[in-house]
Amino acid sequence: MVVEVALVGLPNSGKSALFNALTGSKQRVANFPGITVDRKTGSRKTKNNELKIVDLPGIYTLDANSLDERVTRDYILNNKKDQGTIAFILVVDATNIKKSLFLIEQMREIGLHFVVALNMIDLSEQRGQKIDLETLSNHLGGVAIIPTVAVEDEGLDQLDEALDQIVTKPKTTLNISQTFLQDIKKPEYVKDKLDQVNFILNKIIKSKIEKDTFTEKMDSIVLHPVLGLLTMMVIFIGLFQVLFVGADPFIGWIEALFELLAQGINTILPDGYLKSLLIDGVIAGVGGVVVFLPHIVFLFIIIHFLEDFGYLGRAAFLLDFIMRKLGLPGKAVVPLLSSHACAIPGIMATRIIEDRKQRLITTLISPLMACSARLPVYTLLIAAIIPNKTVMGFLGLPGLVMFSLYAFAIIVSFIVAFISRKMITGASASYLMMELPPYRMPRLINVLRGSWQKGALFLKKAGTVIFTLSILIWGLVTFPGAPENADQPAINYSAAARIGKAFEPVFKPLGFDWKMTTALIPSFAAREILVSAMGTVMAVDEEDEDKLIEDLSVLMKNEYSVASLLALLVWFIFSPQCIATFGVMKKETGGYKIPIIFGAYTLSLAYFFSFVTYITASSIF
Amino acid sequence: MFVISNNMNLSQLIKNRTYIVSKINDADESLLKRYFQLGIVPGVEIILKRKAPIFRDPIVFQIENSQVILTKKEASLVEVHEEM
Repeated sequence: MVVEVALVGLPNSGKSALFNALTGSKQRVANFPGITVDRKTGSRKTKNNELKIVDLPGIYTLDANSLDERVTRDYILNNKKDQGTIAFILVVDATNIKKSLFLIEQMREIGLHFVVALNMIDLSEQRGQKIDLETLSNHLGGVAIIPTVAVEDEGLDQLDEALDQIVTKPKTTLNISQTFLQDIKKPEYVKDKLDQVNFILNKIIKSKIEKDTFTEKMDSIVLHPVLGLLTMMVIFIGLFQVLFVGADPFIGWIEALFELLAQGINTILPDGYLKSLLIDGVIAGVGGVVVFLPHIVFLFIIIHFLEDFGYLGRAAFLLDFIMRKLGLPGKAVVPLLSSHACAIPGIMATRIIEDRKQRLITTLISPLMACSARLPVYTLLIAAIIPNKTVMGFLGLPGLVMFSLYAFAIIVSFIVAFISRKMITGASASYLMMELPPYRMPRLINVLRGSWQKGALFLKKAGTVIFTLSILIWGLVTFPGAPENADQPAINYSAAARIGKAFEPVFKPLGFDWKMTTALIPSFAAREILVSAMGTVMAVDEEDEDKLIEDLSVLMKNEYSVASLLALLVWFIFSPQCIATFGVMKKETGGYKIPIIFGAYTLSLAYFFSFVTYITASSIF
Repeated sequence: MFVISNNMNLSQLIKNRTYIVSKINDADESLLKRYFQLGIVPGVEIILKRKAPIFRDPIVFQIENSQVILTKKEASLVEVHEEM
């Protein structure tokens, strides 16, 4: 029989590290039903039992505040007799026992079966703390207390033994009286429990813990007014570099692999719809999903490292002054910055924000950042509109325009954040108040495993949405095919072109013709496709991308007015031309509501600003 | 020496000096809970470690064995007195 055991503990107690140590590679990540809090489960064999281990979000007391904490509270309190979890492992940071004692007392009060994993016992000993484990156990009603060092796999065997003993105990009905949940909020209750905690502490601490000198020294640099800000800049520039430059070869290899596949099919199959479906639909669709993996995995390696190391909280401290005005925590800088490379890993990175409302706002504005897929589009349009002149002696005009596109996107995203803060119902965490954990060296395998899990989850959850939409877009640009005596590119006869023509009146106020609107449709698969799609509708036959941009920019300059091209440029700042964004938003928010709101507001912004641009530019040029 | 200044709150502390939390003012229930969870309860020793580089806000405090950050506003709700 499989016995379910759940891990509980305070944030930063090393709970996840212990989970990793106990389950190794035998892990599954899913969501708790109905909400997007990760539910990690894993399995472990002890001498007598097969354990299913559940990792619960960190919690301070049974009286929960945030969404994550409520998950844990409900899990514990709804744990009925004859079903669910048999026993708990309460993970306690040995360097900070006092805080955990309160939770232990509460768990004891309602009659749960648990063992205590006194984690990071090595750090506690190094810092000279001596704890009388026997007395502690006695005061806690004889509960087993196992010293562990999760990151070194120490104490796991003893933990197994303790678990084998405890899971044989008959499960008792939980002692949760009607008044308990109200009582635990009352000051008298808190004071009473705190006195109890202090009483126990005085009995068990034989020698007090010394200062964490490593954390003090690190903080004197990391939080220093000058050095701290410099360190942060270096870290964020590094993060940016890894996303922009480091992930590039991997993306190149993935693209080359799918290219090779496509070529293989090209030589085997005769021309026709099947071949087109496989190459331009299936392979392009799957490739369009897999291509995000390097960005996601690389970003999460950095995020998991910084989080486990203890840096993210420090960054939140240093950046609070910018983000607070927007109602966002300092940590929101990480997803927003990452979104400049790509919004997909950026949106996934919003998970580092604990508060639901703040997470939603960040999710909504992340895709406004000028991601790298916009670069080819910006390059093409700037080349077509902006003369390559130098202003003020040294600034290149095209570069200046490019910069202002980035800046404009950021300014608008701040305004959107400000407005959505008022519009999204539900209180956001009104406080910053948080603990700065001591620095700890992360275990590399945990960082890598966690990052890979993020990538795999993306493939599974977002991949299907992205793939389906890719096939849909393929269908639109392929059917119906060109007639026998066609004198125009095949796409001009397709459903996409019909939609483009049908929508021409709608986009006429923006100065777009049907060719532009037609090219916008395949560009929903990914923004950069606009370049090749414009090339196709305008019948430019050029394989090399740089050359294509060059030829196409000349052609577009001759065909369209400056105002139209400027409007198209502005369109791409806002328009949600990326189905992957919808896919990942649906995955992260657990429904279609947020992606639909996102689509509606960005399309409205795109339409509005393009319209204003077209009108203004038309009167000037 | 008995120096109990009733008007003193956490945002006004002198750096690296030890104070004792007297009470928490005007906080709603969930906020109170948060103070408590982070170990900020009457009677506990607290030290101001450093302020943020820009606007001197938020502020890092040392409470017993852990470091906690509070915004200036959150700090101002906590009344303290000096050690006697």
